[in-house]
Amino acid sequence: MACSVLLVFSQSSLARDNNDFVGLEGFVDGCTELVHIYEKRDKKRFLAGQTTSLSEALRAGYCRGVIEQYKEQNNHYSRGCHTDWYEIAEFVARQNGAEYKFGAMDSLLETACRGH
Amino acid sequence: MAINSLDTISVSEAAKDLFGVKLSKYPKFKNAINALLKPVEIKHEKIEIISAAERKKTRIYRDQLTKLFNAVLLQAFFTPSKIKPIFSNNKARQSAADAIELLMMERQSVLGLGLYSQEMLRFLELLRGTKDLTTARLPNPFVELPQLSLDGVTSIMKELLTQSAALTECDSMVLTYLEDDLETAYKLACNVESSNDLVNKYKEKIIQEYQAAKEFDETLDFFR
Repeated sequence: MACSVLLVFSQSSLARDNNDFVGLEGFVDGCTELVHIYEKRDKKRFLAGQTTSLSEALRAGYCRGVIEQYKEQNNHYSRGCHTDWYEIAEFVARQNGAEYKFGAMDSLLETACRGH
Repeated sequence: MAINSLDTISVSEAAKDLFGVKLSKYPKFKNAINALLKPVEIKHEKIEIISAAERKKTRIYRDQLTKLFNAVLLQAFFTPSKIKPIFSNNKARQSAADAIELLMMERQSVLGLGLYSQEMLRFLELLRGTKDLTTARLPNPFVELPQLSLDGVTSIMKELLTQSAALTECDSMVLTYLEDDLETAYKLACNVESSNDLVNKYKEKIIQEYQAAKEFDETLDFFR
């Protein structure tokens, strides 16, 4: 199972040069998958499981994890992020990753939390 | 860009060459072929005809004719979106062969549609094998193509579904699965008792897929 995931990843256009970071593009892509999977879930029972590939599920899980981590790290500030994770994911999915410079993950998440 | 007419062939010519059918007599068959081109990725071009008002004529690349031939035979059983992976994915190909074998075994005819049993066996044998289906033609098991004889219905599977009196539990299990009704297929699969290996293999596959999809839904709900 793990092997096939790695294989798909190495062959996909998302293959990375940098070994340490999935990066902003991977994040935006993951959130796009995540929203798409939930749309399928709400459309019909079992549809998501029948039509989602292993790599799509993995990418979506990455988005979910990054958002949760961001919210957790920021919730002790008075102006913490109280936006629902799904709304954040939808906001991120609407972005074109190329418009954000490398390292702009925090600013993207901050904007997503404000919702505009 | 002008396309060399030697490289391409019209849909009508293709139907005549491959099946000896005059499309002008069978407009529904023409629609059935056109419905395959895009979803099954049979390469073709749409050419604007300058003289006629905004008409486009479809021309199929000649090197796609074997793929088209096989796709038309498979269309008797499956919808176009289910045919595409049969050409590229071995698992989908084996699963398709299983479904056809389960539904056609011990049937000499479906709805009065004649089948050549020897060709049916060779059809399944080739489908189970590894020969490239874009270059190797499947044997035609039909006395007459279902697309020609069933009035407006191109799929045997769909037609079978409406003949519920003639269906076994196993038939219903396979058909509902092919109709993407996994929940019903699962319920039927749980009731199917058989000593036939192929029946049991298909039953297991449905049960596993159902459980995986259910688990996925539950995980999504947990994450929500």
